[in-house]
Amino acid sequence: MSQILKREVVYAFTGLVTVIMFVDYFFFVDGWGFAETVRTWAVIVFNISLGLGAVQLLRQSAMNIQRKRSNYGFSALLVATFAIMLLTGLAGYAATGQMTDNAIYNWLFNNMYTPLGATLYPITGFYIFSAAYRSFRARNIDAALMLIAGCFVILSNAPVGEAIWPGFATIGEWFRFTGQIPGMRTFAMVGSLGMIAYGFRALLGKERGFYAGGGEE
Amino acid sequence: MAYPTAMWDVIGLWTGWVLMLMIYSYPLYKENPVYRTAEYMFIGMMLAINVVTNFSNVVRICITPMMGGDFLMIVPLILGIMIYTMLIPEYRWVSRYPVALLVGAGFGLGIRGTIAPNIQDAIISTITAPSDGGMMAWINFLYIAVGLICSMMYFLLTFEHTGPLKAPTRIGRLFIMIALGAYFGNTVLFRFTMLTGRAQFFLQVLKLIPM
Repeated sequence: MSQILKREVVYAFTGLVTVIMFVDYFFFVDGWGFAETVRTWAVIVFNISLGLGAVQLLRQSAMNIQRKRSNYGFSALLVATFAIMLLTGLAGYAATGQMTDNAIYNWLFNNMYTPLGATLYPITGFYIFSAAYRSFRARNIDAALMLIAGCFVILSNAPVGEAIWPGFATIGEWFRFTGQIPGMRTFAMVGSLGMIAYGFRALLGKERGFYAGGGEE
Repeated sequence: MAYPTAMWDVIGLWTGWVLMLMIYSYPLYKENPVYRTAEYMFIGMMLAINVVTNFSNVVRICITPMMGGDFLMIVPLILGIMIYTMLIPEYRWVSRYPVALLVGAGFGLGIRGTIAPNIQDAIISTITAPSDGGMMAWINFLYIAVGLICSMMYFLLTFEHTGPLKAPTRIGRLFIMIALGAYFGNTVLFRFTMLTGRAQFFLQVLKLIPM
């Protein structure tokens, strides 16, 4: 019985939810709001489940601090920053229903979180030069085509490109709006077909990797 | 935006500036404690912001309607709590139910949302002949049609790319390289635009350029 509850019922449940979504969309059942309800449930479960990541990270950090592992000070910093941000956010939320209604939270968000986020993302800009050098070496015709397309796109957008030769803008625009369409459309189509195939395999219970423990326990 | 004059705003501006330098100490020097301090602070803040945002979402979508009499909302709440059994090895299997709901809804919504734009519309756009635009429009039309067919053939992985498949798959690979080149070019530009923004912020705080 417990094995059935652990495996077969779970696979059937996955299939049932998928079928509910399909029926709603492909068979146009008028006034059938159950799919919408299930979708709302999924959104709620998703929101609750994201807390799991926070719990795991905090648990790991707490263990680092408790056992005084190397660099445990950083874990302490993480927990402290988390606690301050959480308390100020919840205080704002409790007061007015808006977490942005707390001066400390706002200050931390605007002057620490936003600059950090805006700095961390383009950090790859430093490495993209070396990546570009390695990718854009015309060792064969494939790499040469990649180099040409990449250079034209860059030079069409950078003001220096048009200053060197006005044709860069025209050709670069062509690469951006026409040249890359076959490849990009192929990626979209192949990705979609792969996703459909994967979905049907999951529906049939052949894909189980996403269940905790791979569905084998 | 003018340069701030209020004390806390000025302190905030300089805090952001110092944090930015702390982050850039990694690419400009090497992995160091200063960088890691800023990194861990960012993770802690991001985590808290996500928790508070998700909490407020759950209250808005689930708890408030439930208090208003929609008792069916207890189902996702229980399912959501069930996912935390993942932390208890002997009851880990219980978490498969909320995962099943997420996966089922994800597949259902994903598949139904992908067929029309990514397959149907892509095919229609490819086979629709240009109604105007002259010779260049026809060249582009043929380029896209031939390119798409050849690129799709490149992904036929159940057949070896030999014999009649050799030439089209080879051409398809070239079309893919062009797309990747253009995509990479766009990525480089985007990252550099963001980096330029940071450089601007660096100079603005030092009052070397106007804010």
